[in-house]
Formats: sequence, C-alpha cells, structure tokens
Amino acid sequence: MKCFAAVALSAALSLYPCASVLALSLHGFVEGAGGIRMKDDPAQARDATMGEGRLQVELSQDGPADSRFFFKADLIGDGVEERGDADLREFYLDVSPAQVIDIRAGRQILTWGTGDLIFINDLFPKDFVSFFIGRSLEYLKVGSDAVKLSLYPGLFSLDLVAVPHFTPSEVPQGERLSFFNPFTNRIAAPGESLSMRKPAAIAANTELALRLYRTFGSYEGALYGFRGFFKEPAGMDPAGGTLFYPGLSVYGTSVQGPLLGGVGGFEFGYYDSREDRPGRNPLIENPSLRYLVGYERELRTDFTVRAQYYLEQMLEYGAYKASLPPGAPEKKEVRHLLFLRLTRLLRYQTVELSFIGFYGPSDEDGMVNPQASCKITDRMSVALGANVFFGKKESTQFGQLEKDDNLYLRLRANY
Amino acid sequence: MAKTRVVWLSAVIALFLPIGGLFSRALAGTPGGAEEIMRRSALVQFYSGNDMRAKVTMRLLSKEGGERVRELIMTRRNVKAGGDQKYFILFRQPADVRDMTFLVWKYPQRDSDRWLYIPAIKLVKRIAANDKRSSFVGSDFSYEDVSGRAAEEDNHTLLREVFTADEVKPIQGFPTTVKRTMKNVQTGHWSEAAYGEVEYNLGLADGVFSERSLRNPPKELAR
Repeated sequence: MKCFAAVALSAALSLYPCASVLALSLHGFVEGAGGIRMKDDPAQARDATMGEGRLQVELSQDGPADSRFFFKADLIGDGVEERGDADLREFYLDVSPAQVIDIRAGRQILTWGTGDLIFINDLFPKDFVSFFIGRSLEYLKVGSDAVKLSLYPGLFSLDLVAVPHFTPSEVPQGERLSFFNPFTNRIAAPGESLSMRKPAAIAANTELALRLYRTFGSYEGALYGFRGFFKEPAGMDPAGGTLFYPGLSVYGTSVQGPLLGGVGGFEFGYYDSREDRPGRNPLIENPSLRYLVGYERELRTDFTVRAQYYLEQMLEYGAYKASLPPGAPEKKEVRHLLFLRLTRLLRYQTVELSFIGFYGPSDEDGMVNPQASCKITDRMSVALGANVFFGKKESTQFGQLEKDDNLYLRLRANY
Repeated sequence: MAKTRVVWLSAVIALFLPIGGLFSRALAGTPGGAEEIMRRSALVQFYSGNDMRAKVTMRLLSKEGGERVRELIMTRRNVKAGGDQKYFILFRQPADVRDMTFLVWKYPQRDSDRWLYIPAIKLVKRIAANDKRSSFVGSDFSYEDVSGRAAEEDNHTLLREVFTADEVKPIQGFPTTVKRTMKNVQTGHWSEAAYGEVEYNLGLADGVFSERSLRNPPKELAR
C-alpha cells in the first residue's frame, strides 16, 4: 500500500502542470514539524518526539452523475524514525446510484458521534500518537478500507459501513512515547516492543457499523450499532507474549441540541466484549457501559468553552476482581474523565489560542495541551504548543506518558 | 446605477449597550420608524425570492495594507417569507478552509442552529456560536450581516462600524446589493464583499439543507 501511495503520489505530482486542462482539482500543503522532550526520559533514546517534513497531495475529480473520485496522500521525511514514508490517507470513489442512495468505496476517514476527542460510538481507527506528539488534528483520524452505504429515505437517514480489512488505532508503542508493558508491569525499556496480533483477514471478520439518525426540530438523535473488534489492544495473550484486539459489539445512542444558550449533547454506549462476557478473564477487557455529556457555549465574542464528562462503568466487576492475578494493576469499577477546551480567536480570527485539558479523578491522571496558532497569510500558518502529561500510576492512559511531555512547532504552507 | 450609501452609525446607541438586549426587545413591539425601515430593508436584502445562490468574494483589508481573500458559495432558502430560513455555505478559499461547509437553520426569534463540516476529519460539528457579533470568517461582517439579522436586534450591533451598500442592481427583478463594505472605524480594518453569479428562485428542495449536503455537497449547492 505504501509503495502504491508513493507511486500514485508521484503520478499526481507529474499531473500538476496539466491539472487545469483535465479539470482536476489539485491541492495540498508542505509542512515542517518538530517536537522535543521537556523532561529526560530514561525509556527513550531520543530527545525529539517529532521531526518531519511532509508533502500532502489532494486530487479530486468530479465524474458523471454525481460521482467523484478523491485521493489524498502524504510523502513524509521522518527524522525521528530516520526513514522516508508514504501514507495513503484517503482514496475513494463516491457514487449515487439513486436519488436516496450514496455509496463511498475505498480508503476513507469515518467520523460520527457527539464527543470532542472522546469517542464512544465512533469505533473507527484513530492515531493517538499523532495527537500526543502535536501533529495537526487531521492526523488523529486514520482511514478505514471500507464501503459506506448511506440511505436517505426521508424520515431518517442511515449509514451502513462494512470494513473488510481491520485497521487498529495507533497507541504509544515506545517509538516516540513510552508505554506500560502489561506483561512485565512496568514502563517498557528502550527498544522493548510488544507484538500486536490483528484479527485474521477473513470474510467473517468484516466489521460492520451502523448509524440511524434524524432531526427533531433543532435536536438531533441517533442510534448506533457496531460489530467488530476493539480498536486498541484490549486483550493479552501471555502464551505468545502478544496483545490482540478482542471481539466487540457496541449498541449506543446520542442526542444533541440547543441548551441554555449553547449546545448540549449526551451519548451512551454498551460495550459488549464478546470474548469475555462473564468478565472472568482478566486478560480481556470486560463489558462496560459508557456515558458522555458535553456542553459548549460561546461565552463572549470569539471565546468558546467546551466541557465534557465521561464515565465508564465496568460490568462484571466482581468476577474481574476475583480473577485478577496477584500483583497486576487493578482497574477501578468506574472510570471518570473530565474534559475542558477553551478557544480564543484574536486579530480577525487569524490568531487562535487554545487550551485542552483532560483529568481523570479515578485514575488520577490527565494531560494539558495549550496551543497558539497564527495564520501568517492566507497560505501560511504556524502553530506552537505543548503536551504535558501527569499521573500517579504508570499503568494508566496518561500516567504511562508522564515523562513524555513535549513542546512542538509546526509550519505549513498550502498550495 | 443608483448608488445608495447608508451610514448606520450612532454613538447614542453606546449608551444603551449594557441593556441593549432588553432595550431592543422592548422596542420590538412598537411601530418605531427606524425599526420599521430596518425590518423592511432586511426583508428586501435577505428574503428576495424563494431561494437564492451567489458566489461571494470577500476581501479583508487591514490599515497596513494586508489583504486576505475569502471565496464562498452561499445558498439560501426561505422556509417562510419573513420567517425561518436555511443557509448553506461552501468555502472555496483560502486553502485552510477549502471544501468546508456550513449549514444554518435560522429563526427570527431564537438562536440559529449551526453546523460546520471539517472535511479533513469528516467531522460534522454543531456550532455553539450564539453571539450575534461573531465575525464571519474573520471579516468585519458578522454572521448576521451575511445571513440577515432580525431587524429589532440591529440597534446594539452596529457600533463603531460603517456599512455601505456600494452597488445595488436589479437581478430577476429583485434589487440586489452586489457589493457591500463594512468598515471598522476604530481599527481601520475593512471588508468588501462582492456577490457574483446571483440567481433567484432555483427551486431548491428543503431537504438539501441537511447533514447529507454538509458531508457531500450536491452540485446545485456547490457550483
């Protein structure tokens, strides 16, 4: 796929002089980004968390009868991993065979749900490493190789997604960010890695996701369904010393709409961990109930505040506790997470100051991400920010990154 | 070509600013002269035809000579004459907002419903902005200047700003302000908006002003 992306990218670039003749839309950017550690991390050999140059090429072409072809790929020179890379971000075809049907087939980014950086019913892959080292927000989402069928019969809308080829989320694996090794119960040493086993690429493992939604006046309601696998390695196989992605089904709902001069939302999901329904296997994540409430309001001109509260309740907690081997880090039955985002726009919205904070009172961990960005001209922008992590225990989501605080700078020119 | 120059500037309004909202609500019921004129001009400006589409090119100019350009395609449909409206905006320029779409369901008496679609992450985001003075894409125009505000809300919004309708011409029989300027007299920053390819009564269906169009704009909204 990488090789294909590189070939397609160079082909796209060679088209540049004749793009206007072919009525092709060709766009993209060049970006340089660097990040350095703010603390000495014994688990990491390098001081840099990011050092890369990126060329993005986006091509699109409208076809007959509302069809459209879309291609987006990045060519990356990566100083941290000391290699060149090509990343096919999106590559799909849109067709509308009937007035009430849209189909999108190919590599595509899929997003739904009401959360801001907290996801319950959006079970599409994410790249948390990119987010934690300060890449731009678009890199939080990873494309899925999928077919999406959208139906608009009138009263409601329906999205049906089939993902025949499993793509996991990117989680810290020691290359740039430390991770807690659940086999040794400590932060992994430099060079130490864990193997991750993906579900077998067979037809029966095709993931299915569904969203049924409609508006009720100013309010939006949605029902969600998912049958597939955890996107994070939530299972341990001690015999092979590997982590894996256990089977997961999710049933959920969300509502969103105006509330007290702002926008309020609620989302719920029941996580059916299919390979450990009774909760007696401590090596596989238990089933759980997940809730999210969010509220956003523009407090004054160009100053917006968003707050979220997330709760995750483990089911079959008694069985989990009884089966936990001695010495293993124990999860709490209820995990809470608080989220705050402040956004201030200045100078005719060319300067943005933002603050993102997570705090987990139950895990006693969290992170903050202050960022200042500026559109120097319509084509050039710069962003400077930091990611600071804290946590009492090495085994928690943010706690494992405690020594990975970083400062980053990005400079982008669009063409 | 009649060149109308309307100057809406009043220092007196500043006195009412702290209670602007209350004041305007109190006035809304009275048949005040200025109030009535504004309501009518809003109807002409923002309700012409059953629907409308225009290519809007904005130049944002600073006193120091800096220039930024915004290009967008705006479509509007009146749900009820003088009442609810739906807007769809597709951004064409600059590069960092290209292909973003914006949907507004506008109600005269309460906050609009607004959605923004960010194509890079395929995210439809509900926008909380309820401040009538929020700048539209960083210009001197507010969201309400572009989409039309309820007339009774005008008195506390146009402070330190000079609005001029630079060119008005009849299109399909509707007087249309095809060039307008908003100048901030304090900062010297000003914004010019030119409305091109204006077309009325396209016969757009209500259903096109939906999440489907945000994610995948139909050609009738994007051309």
